[in-house]
Amino acid sequence: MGHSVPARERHSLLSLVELSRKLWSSHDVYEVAESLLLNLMGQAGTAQAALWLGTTGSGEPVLIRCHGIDRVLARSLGHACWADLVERSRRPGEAVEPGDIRIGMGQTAERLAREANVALFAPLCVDDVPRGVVAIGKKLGNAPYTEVELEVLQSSLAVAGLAVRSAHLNGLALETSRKLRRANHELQELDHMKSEFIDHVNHELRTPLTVVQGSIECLTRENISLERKDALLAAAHDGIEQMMRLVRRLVTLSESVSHDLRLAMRLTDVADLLDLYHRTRRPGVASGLRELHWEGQECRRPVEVDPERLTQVLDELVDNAVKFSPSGANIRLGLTEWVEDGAEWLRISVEDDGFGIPRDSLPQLFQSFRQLDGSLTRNAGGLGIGLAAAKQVIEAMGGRISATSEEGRGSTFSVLLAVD
Amino acid sequence: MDTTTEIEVLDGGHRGRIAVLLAQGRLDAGTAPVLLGRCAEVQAQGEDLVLSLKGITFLGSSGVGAMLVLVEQFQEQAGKIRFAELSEAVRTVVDLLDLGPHLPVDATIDDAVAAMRS
Repeated sequence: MGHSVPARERHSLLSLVELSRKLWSSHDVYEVAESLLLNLMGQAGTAQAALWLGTTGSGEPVLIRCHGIDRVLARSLGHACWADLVERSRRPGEAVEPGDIRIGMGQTAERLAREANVALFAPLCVDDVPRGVVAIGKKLGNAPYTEVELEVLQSSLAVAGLAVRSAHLNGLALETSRKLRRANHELQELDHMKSEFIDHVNHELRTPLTVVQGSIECLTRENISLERKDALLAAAHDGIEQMMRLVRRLVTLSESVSHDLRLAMRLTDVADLLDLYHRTRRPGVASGLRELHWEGQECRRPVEVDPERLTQVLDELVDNAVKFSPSGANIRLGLTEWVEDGAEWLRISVEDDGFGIPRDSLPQLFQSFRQLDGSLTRNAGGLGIGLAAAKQVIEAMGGRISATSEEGRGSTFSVLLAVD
Repeated sequence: MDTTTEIEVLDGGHRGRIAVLLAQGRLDAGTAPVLLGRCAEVQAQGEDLVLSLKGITFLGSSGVGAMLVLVEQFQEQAGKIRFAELSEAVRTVVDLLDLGPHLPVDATIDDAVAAMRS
């Protein structure tokens, strides 16, 4: 004889199956978060849900997604409850009601939870390590959460915890792979430069070296006239002067080769390029709990660019945005049509809501690092072509690059590509 | 496994500034993002939305979540959304979760448009 499962509980169990299937194909933590919250809201029939993830280092929670709760309120709620909820989640996980939150700001946390219509919090753990917290609202029908529903909720969060870890590792792996590819590419370019350099040196130095060597050998012989000695010394001196000129030319050559802009221009759908870039870059950026958005897919005007060089410029701009914005920040990649100085352009923008750039640093942003301190080195600690080289690349493609910023609000880098 | 093709969201025309979309297929974790994306396009145009669910053959929890999120998103932007022509599959789940009183639902598209204009 079979036992029928009450319809509501069957719905909960099927929700868990649905969630599991979806999470295995999610690529970044924001996608996991959205899938989880939609599923939990539909499981319970609630209009409020939020997910916070902890950052490494500071441990402060980052609001990843929320629905039905004002974002400012959700951020405050996360900060108010985090410490206590993380402490609880170190023990075998269970849902916590707002009234059970016991921290220094207990009453504040409970008030905020009431404002947000939160019914309970539940930890997101991986290998018993707390990674995040989910808040779920009261059911729209105001019915209490049943024991089965709470069990399914815990299982859902266990599955989600694994997906978060997987998405995080996937993002880290993609970022590492990207950096390795760039490093390899730059090493290949350096290797090529080195070979050219050695060939050049070998060819150009041999003649004057031979003259200097021959002159000195003759000078060491006995019984040569003063006149002959003067001539040999003069020849040796000329040879050394020639070598000095060569060295100076080689230094100039190495500088120009290091900025060698051999462009492979071709007609390119920039929207397609940015779409692919966004898809491949987003998981890596998300692994640092920053979200990379993309708008402008409908802007379809092919322009002449070097796609590989343009991608290097995008890498530089997005790397800067990541470096100068905190966890939880948003980075927006945009593409629009633009008119400037009577000409038509495509405008690529990389906008962040991070720390911003000090006003007095803005004018020097695209200058070679060499001009700031007299050295030839790139910005310390980073791979990449640098903003100065990014400017050279874009201008070599007939475009323009600029930046605006407000301290404490964020920055916007704009690249203009000529349409005609 | 790509399940995003298991839903279609068809253009049902316009009634003034009210767009009508016809959803057909499964509405679950795999297809909810497709529906949300299509509805976001309508919202970006500053239009209100009537979403027909007559063609929905299966409604999963994530589909319910998507419906709730749509209500939230349109309300946030001072827009309106109503669900019309609920299929049997949709009605069953909505009733199970007691969501009827909390979702803007109408029997027909015409009723939904009239409710929006009143």
